[in-house]
Amino acid sequence: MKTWHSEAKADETPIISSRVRLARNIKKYPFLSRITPEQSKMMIRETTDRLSNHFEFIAFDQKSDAEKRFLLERHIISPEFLKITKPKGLLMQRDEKISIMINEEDHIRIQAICAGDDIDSVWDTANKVDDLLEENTEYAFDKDYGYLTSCPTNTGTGLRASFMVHLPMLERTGQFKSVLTAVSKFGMTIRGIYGEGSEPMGHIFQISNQITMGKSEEDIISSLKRITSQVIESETRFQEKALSERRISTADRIYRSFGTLRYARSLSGKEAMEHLSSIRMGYMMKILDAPKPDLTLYQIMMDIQPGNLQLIKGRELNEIERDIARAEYLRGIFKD
Amino acid sequence: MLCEKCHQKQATVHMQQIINGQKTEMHLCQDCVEQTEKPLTFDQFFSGLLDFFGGMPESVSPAQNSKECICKCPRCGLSYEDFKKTGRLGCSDCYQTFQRELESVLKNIQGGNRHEGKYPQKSGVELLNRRKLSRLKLELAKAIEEEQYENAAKLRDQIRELEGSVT
Repeated sequence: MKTWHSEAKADETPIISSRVRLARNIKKYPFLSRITPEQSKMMIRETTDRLSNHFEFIAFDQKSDAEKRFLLERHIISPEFLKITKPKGLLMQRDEKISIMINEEDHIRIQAICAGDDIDSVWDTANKVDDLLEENTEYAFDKDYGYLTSCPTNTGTGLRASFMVHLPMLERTGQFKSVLTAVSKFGMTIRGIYGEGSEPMGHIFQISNQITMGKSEEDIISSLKRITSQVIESETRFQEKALSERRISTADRIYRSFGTLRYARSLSGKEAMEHLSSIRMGYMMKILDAPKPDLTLYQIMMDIQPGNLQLIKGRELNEIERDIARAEYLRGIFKD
Repeated sequence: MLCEKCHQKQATVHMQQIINGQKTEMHLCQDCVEQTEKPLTFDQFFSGLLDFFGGMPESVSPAQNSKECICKCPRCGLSYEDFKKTGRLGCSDCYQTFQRELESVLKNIQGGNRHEGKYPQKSGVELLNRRKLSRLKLELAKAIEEEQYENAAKLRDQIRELEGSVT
């Protein structure tokens, strides 16, 4: 079964992936801040029973720290989910295209994700999973306010639609601040690679809607598409400009990154992401003349994160060991 | 004295910290102190906004306005004060308990304070009927304007029937 991040579409354009998440609560249980551990367990059991034919249940609370990190780095769970101390459950499909977090900030967070630019299809998927869940559950819903959520910033549709985008040129040329301002004027927001409060890495960002009420899901998604396509157009324009005006220096940087990944003996996560970002751009701009690795660039980017790296190595690693293991892994990928 | 961190600028901030009886001193310049500040979290920022928005709904009289809701949600026990601290509601009934405050909060942080999207098939029947009703009323107005009286009569009957089921 192919995961979304192993599909070639994840590498072809600045849009790495499209994602939709829906926040839902079950009427008969209090929200996260007031739910008891016993109620949480009951709610998790009821929800997972209903979907057991369609999804695999992951006993999240019993996972090791590295395994939890692995799930976070693969965007299967959110950073918020890791922080919650009440009982939690996770349902997912093996291809990592759909996951359901149970007892996150809301009782249910449905997430659908796919490679490349196809947000309509992920909305369709999340919508169907939502219908399936609703068949046997009464959601907290109000005719005026829509789906009721723990935090009023999600009330209404409970929808967060987002594109994960790679914007190396906008960031390098200092255009990023103006993009950020423009995007926020349209009720959208840009965050780091792992969402809320995460550090930007490898020039990868998430563009998503901020407003969840007063507009239909389709309208929210269509505004997001329009704004994202504008951002992508600017990125492409700056890439073309770099090619026509500074071809040698642009190529030089990309090939230096390639050399570093092929030969380095120790690499921090941040440095490796920077080089992988250059290489992704190199392939996209068709300026890097080297065989493409079997894995997609985004898959490599996830594999070198601490949790993934430790699972690949099969043991816990300290920071120094991780840097060495990361360089070794990358040498294996980019070898002659 | 030079800053202990950058060793370049004059240290202007002197800090003392006592943890478990162990005293440590730090002498830093303004820039380095500012860089050590933790980034503001979304929750801190958001609960600050609630003070501003939730405290003064536009539609209430000044007498009502002077005091926020002091009641607690009868179902989960959350007070508005608790909500302001965390930015999180306790249960679905909180939306009714703190309706006056939330109307204003939602209007300010969202695009509008009425839901326009999907509804659950079961509990959303009434919403569906209300939407259908407003659509039919528009069609009726149009039919009258275009003098299509036969059609208008049909629409009027449909509206009457629906109005019975919408509260």
